[in-house]
Amino acid sequence: METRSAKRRKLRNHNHESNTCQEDRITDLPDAVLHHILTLLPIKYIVKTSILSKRWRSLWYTFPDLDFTSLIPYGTKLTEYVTLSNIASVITNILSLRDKFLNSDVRILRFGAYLSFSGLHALARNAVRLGVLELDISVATEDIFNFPRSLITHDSLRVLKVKSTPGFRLPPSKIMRSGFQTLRELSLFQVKQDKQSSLLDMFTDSSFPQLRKLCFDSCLDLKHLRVGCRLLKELVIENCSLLQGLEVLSPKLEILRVWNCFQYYNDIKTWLQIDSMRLHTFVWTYNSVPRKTCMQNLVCLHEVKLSFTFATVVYEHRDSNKLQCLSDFLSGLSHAESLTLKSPLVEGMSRNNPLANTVFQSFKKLKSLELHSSNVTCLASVLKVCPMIHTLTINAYNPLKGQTILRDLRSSWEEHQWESQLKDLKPLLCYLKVVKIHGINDNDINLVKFLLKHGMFLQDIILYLRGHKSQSCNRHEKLISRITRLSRASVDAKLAFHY
Amino acid sequence: MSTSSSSSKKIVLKSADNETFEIDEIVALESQAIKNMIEDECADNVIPLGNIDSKTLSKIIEYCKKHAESPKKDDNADIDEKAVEDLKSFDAEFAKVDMPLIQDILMAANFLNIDNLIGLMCRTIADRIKGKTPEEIRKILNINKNDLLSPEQEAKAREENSWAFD
Repeated sequence: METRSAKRRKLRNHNHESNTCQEDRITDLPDAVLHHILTLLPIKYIVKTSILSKRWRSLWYTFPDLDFTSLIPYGTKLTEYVTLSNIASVITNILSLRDKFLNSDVRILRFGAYLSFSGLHALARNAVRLGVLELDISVATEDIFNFPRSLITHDSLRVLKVKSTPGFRLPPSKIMRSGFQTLRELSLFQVKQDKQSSLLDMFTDSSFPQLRKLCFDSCLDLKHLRVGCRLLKELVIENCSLLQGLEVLSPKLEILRVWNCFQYYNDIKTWLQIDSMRLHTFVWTYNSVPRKTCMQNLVCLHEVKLSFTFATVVYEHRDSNKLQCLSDFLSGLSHAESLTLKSPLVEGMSRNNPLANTVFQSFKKLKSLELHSSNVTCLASVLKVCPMIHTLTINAYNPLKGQTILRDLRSSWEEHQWESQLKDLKPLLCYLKVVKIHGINDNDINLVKFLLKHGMFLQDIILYLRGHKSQSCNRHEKLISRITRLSRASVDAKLAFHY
Repeated sequence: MSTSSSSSKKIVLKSADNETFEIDEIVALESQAIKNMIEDECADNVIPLGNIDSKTLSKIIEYCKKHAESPKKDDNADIDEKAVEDLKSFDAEFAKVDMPLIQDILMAANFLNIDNLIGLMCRTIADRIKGKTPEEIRKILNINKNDLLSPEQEAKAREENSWAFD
């Protein structure tokens, strides 16, 4: 590289001297760097660069990361792909031209398209032929299709993500288990299971030997799942509402996220079993509480995020059996130091002491608590029973409405009402060192005032202001100056503001 | 937040036009290539960079200084957010230079193996050519006239991918 550049430099100096036009510097860069530039452009513009020059033409034919997703207008649903019928032929055409060139392997193939069964299988075979490492497809087909078997035995596949409508069938476990020897990440959306509604023997400890991340989304037939893959680090299960039994035995699992599954509130015998020494993060949101829980050895557990279905929160506390189920469920999580409680659980806990006590009694090592709540009355009543924690985070953004939700401070929770809670909140105030409030605005000043006035050991108050820096500069400045002037019980208390 | 101190180890870089730059070792370590040289102990006191001129090199040092000084990810998460903002606006300002210099910086960053800077320059180039016609891009990048496709070749390429040229 040095000699080449030295030559160019000489040439350039010469050009400068003779005052002719500058040289084409970019051509000398290695393909990898120029391909890097191309990855930053939508596929349409990348294709257009193929006529710039011979150098750029060859860059296009060897460009390894083919992402066609930009051909689909933003927000188009899978079911609307049928109107974008030409995409499939564009992709097929581009892949078929690849063969003629050296080093034309494909590293990443990502696309969304409406496809015939044969078109889909042909594309999968083409992708395998070109040695694809990462395949990420969203396809709409006329009917439920069978998973392309050519992918199972393809021995260089690292990442596979399949999203489809109306869905697809997986081959029998025996066949799935025998392939995918190099797969690191698998993500399945809308798997249909005609006969078997359980995946108990597909993800065994010897199958998928390299798998690190496994995701299921909207697999509506899935009732039972067992996962034991040896190297698995992350398991995500979303929108599988009929899931009623989950067993995770992967010894290296670090993150488990279950969202909007276990949608039961009658007497279905739901169960959850986890035995993963390394589990660090456990997210269980918008699910019911399993009737039977066995969570062992979660000694590395650090972070827990919880919420339950509305029905669980509202009705089940009346039933002592169900409170016992909750208690069993939570007892397995007792090592966690950081807990996030989301709506509607926070509201439920504020109205219901047995529920709140059951939750908080389980977390003996808690140091940090985060509350997402839709109103401040709830916050206060939850804080009254919460354990002694060092860090309190209040997330006042309402994700649905994009508004802060501490707004009823204005009407019902004025300053004196916070003061009237002082006796109950005193123990907590003697412990709190760090307070973070996300989405703060003018109406929340009473809460900040209360905390500053009584938090004797407060060290940091970090306030994330609502809205953008540029949009509401003046208002923010006023708010900041008001808060900065408030009196503080702790001489060490430092205020910080972020946007 | 400066991490430099008068006692820290210095490295001297010498540009193609024989200008020398004395910088803190920690700044030089932003370059993976220099880092490897230092670790393998094959770096003398002065590291000659025969293919980087002083104008380009001083820009690169400016970049490395800023990035070496700003707190790294493993620090407090709250500092992070502000630092990230700060770096972002620095990067945006840094990239406001003409295309020949951008290309020189990219070549040098590639030689010195400074990942973030390669990324920044690639993004800058991508932003400048995005949405432009082939003719405009040839001008922007100053593409070698001897390397152009023949009219027949260009027509064939357009036809192969007619969907992109509509």
